[in-house]
Parts: sequence; C-alpha cells; structure tokens
Amino acid sequence: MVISNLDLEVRRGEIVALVGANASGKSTLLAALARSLAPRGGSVRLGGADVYSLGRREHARRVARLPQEPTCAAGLTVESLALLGRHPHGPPLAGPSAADHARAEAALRELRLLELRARPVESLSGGERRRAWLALVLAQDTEVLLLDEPSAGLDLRHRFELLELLRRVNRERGVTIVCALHELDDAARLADRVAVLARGQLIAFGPPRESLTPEVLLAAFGVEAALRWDDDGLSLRVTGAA
Amino acid sequence: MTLARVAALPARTWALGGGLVLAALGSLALGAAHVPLSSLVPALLDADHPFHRLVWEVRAPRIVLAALVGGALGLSGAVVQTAVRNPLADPGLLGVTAGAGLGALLCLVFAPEHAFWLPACAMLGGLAAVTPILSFASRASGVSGAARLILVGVAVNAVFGSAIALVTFFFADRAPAYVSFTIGSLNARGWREVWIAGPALVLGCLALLPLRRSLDALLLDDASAGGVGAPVRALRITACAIAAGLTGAAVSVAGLVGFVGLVVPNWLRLALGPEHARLLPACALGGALLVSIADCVARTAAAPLELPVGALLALIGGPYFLSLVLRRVH
Repeated sequence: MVISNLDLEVRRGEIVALVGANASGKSTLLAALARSLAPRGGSVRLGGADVYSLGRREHARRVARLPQEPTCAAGLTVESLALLGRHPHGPPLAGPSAADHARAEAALRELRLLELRARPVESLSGGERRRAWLALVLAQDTEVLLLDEPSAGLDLRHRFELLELLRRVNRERGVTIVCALHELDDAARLADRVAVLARGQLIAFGPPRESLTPEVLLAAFGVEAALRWDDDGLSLRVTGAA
Repeated sequence: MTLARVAALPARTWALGGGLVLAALGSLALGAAHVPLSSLVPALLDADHPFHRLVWEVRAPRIVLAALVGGALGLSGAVVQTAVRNPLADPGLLGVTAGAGLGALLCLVFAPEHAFWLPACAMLGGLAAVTPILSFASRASGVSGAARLILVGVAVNAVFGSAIALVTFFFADRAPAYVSFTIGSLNARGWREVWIAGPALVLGCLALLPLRRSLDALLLDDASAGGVGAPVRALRITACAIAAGLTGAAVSVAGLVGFVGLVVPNWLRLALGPEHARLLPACALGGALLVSIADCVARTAAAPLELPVGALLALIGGPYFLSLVLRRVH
C-alpha cells in the first residue's frame, strides 16, 4: 500500500494505535517507521534525527519492531528467540553476555513463557508463538516499540494480558509504542491517541473519543456504526454497510 | 572462541571430536597393508620403521586432508543453508561445487606450475556460481521457493558441469581424469595437497567463528533480522563468499565431493538446534568424521582397489536428499 502526504508525530512516552481497514497502509507505515522501507519522499525522524542517519545497530537499540507474520528457522527455541533480541547490544562479534541472558529471561518471565523456554518455536500454538516473538522485542530493551497486530491470534485472556503488559511497559519504562490493531475497542482502551488510516491517508488522529467517530469509521471501514463510550471504554455496534 | 566457550560445547560435539580421533587411528591402521595399533606411534616417529613411509607419507596426509575437506564442506553447507534459509541447500546441489571445480580445473590446465593458486581459482569459480543463487534466494521462500532454488541449482550445475566436461575433453593431456574429478577422490593425495589447500581451509573455518552470532540473526525472516540490527544483505553475501571459499579449497584437492554439506548440517541441526555457536563446530567435526570414515571405507572395502570417496558419500547423500524433499512435500 502506498502512503502519501502523511504527517504523524508521536510524542515520547505515548501509545499510538494505528487502525484502518485491510490494506489501508498500517503495516507499510510501521515498516517505514522501522526504517525497513525507505520513503521516496519525506523523512522518518527519531528524536529529531533522520532514522537513516543512525547506524543499523544503534537504531535497533532504540527501536524494536514486531512484523505481522514473523518466521524463524525450525528448531529455534523460545529462549534462543528471545536472546536474539539482544543482538544489537554488546560487541557484534562476541556471544551474548550474562546480562543479555538475564534480560531475555526477564522478558520470558513477563510473558509467562519460562516453562516453554526450551520448546522449539514451531511447536507452540499460535498465541504462544506470538508471545515468544513479543519476548524478542521486549528483550531488545528499546525506547520505541513498533508492533504490527501483536494481539492477532491471542485468546481473550492473553489478549487482555498483552494489553496490560504493553500499558505497564509504557508506564514503568516510558517506552513509546506504535501499534497496529484490528480491534477498535483494544485501540480505545490501550492508546493515548488513535491514528485512523484509509487508502494510505491519515483521516483522523487524536484521543480515542475524538478520532473514533461514526463519520470516521464510515470513511475508514465503509460501515455505519453506533459507538457508546463509558468508563470501561468503547462499545461498538455495526448497524450496516455503506 | 575462548577456552571457556570450547569447554561449554555440548557432549555430542565432544563425541564427534572423539569419533574423529578414533576414525583417524583406524584409517592409519587399516588398508591393503594392516598396521597394528601398537606400531602406529613408532611408525609415525621413527623414520627407519618399516611402516614409516606407509603411515607418514601415504595415510597421514590423506587423513588430514579428508578431515579438512570434510570439515570445510560441512561448514560450507551449514552456512549456505542459513544464508539462503533453505535446509535443502548444499554447495554441490546448488552448483557452487561445480563452479569451484571449473575454477580449479582451469588453473590445473592453464597454470599447472602455480598449484598454490588452486584454492583461489576454485574460490572464484565458486563465487561465480553462488551469485545467481544468492540473487534468487532473497525472492524464494516456502516449499515452492525451495523447489525453485534447487531448480536454479540444477541449471547452474548444468552450465558449470558441461564446461568441466569440455575442458577435460579438449585438454585431456593436462586435466585430471574426468570421472575421479567429478565424483571426488582423495586417492594419491599427499602432504603437498595438504599445504596447497590447508591454509585456505583453516582460514575459512576461522573466518566463520566471529560471525556465529550475526549468522543467528539470519535464522529470522528478513524484516525481523533487520529489526535486531543485522545487516542482512551484507551478512548473506559474506557467508556465501566464505562458503564458496571453503568449497573451492576443498574441491581444489579432492574434486567434486558432494552431499557432505547437505547431510551433516541437517543431521546436526536436528540434534543440536540451529544456533551457530553450537552448530558450526559440530558441522566442522561431523563433516571431518564423515569424510574420514568414507575415505577409510573407500581404501579398504575393495582393497587393493580404491573406490572414489565421492561415490560412497553420494550413496548416503542421494537417498537422504530424497527423504528431505519428500518430508517437505508432505
């Protein structure tokens, strides 16, 4: 999906949710923010510096990205996968240090994966696999997390735990999170601001109550919807397709 | 690799090392003429011992060469499989061995007085063959991608194989025998060949050691590998260049020995996992052990006749390759 005329500024320490229909440009935007897709025009800046002026490893120490459908070699264990998050830390030619092992283990503990640490990633269920990949990006210990649909494939409990974890990581470590989400109520509960994309354009960006409106949802998803906001968040009922 | 890291290698890796020592002792003792184990040390050290020439000048260099060639091919296969993310990849099946063979052959035919350039020429040939593989690998994934990669290998093999056939046909007076060269053999190799290929083989193995952690990043898909700061393209090119160098050095003295790079890493990956700090030392030892045993069998099974070691290895590797393909299809 090609994105054009998009100007998005994410403040340090906030959580921004990207929402939009399939092929609206969420993954493309995340790939551009992660410097794995260079823009033909314009720039992607991190703390004022163009991301391409940063070294690859330096960038990886500051920004971690979880792609939508990551894959790894057969036989790689959950623990080894988490440890790969420590790749940009320490000398590139040396093996992982004791501190790297400790950080990877902490990430596994946070995601309740310690019991599965010796299991090959391909032997896990879809949800467990998703959490194993999240352990990699948490072990990377960055100031920014770019997550492409991290809750996809998770059951209700793990989805709830994931949102809690992301909120805790954001609150306790001040990590900035940009996260593509399919579930609008998740986006409303998790994010400080929601960016709504439609056909590669940013059509709304602001606090959830301001950016998630019936008009915006009609433009983004082509559905008529009734929204009800209360203390628990957003309740959404689709009433028809445009 | 520090001493602490060597000590931390898994027991299975140590077992491979022990097996290699036993295979070397067996190869020194066995052959058309049997040398008792109790006579091995005196025969190696005492120049006047009746078995000294046989053990020191005939069998010992061949054992060293078998271990070096096997270790290099085992490593080369492991690295190529990681670089192109395909467990079916093998320097022989992808045509890298044939490319290296053509390079070595051209050196033997046109510059026979510069034998020490053999590994460099073979490496250049290997690099020429690996280039189309490398450019294709980034676009190939999944079962169909794996099959297409092998098809590219078939085409590369056909091109370089026919060039080898033409060179050996037109320069039959100067080229090595076509059959023994294309199947691979260690017959009549001595310390000279060890000195020709040994330094390149050892250097290639050492060059991989500092890359082992970075190679682990290639166990992830491209986006994730880039996300943890790995220079994916540069790593892939470096890994394939070293693999081509190792294959070239091996081919320059042993001919087109195949399947070691396929069989050894696949077996050991199942036993030890895909992380390179454990896999690479094990593949070096496993490849050395496999070729050492195969060469010992090649020398002794039909003694005094010698079987080409490459033919024996293909007997193991061919069916194994087929089983890997069937497993992927199902």
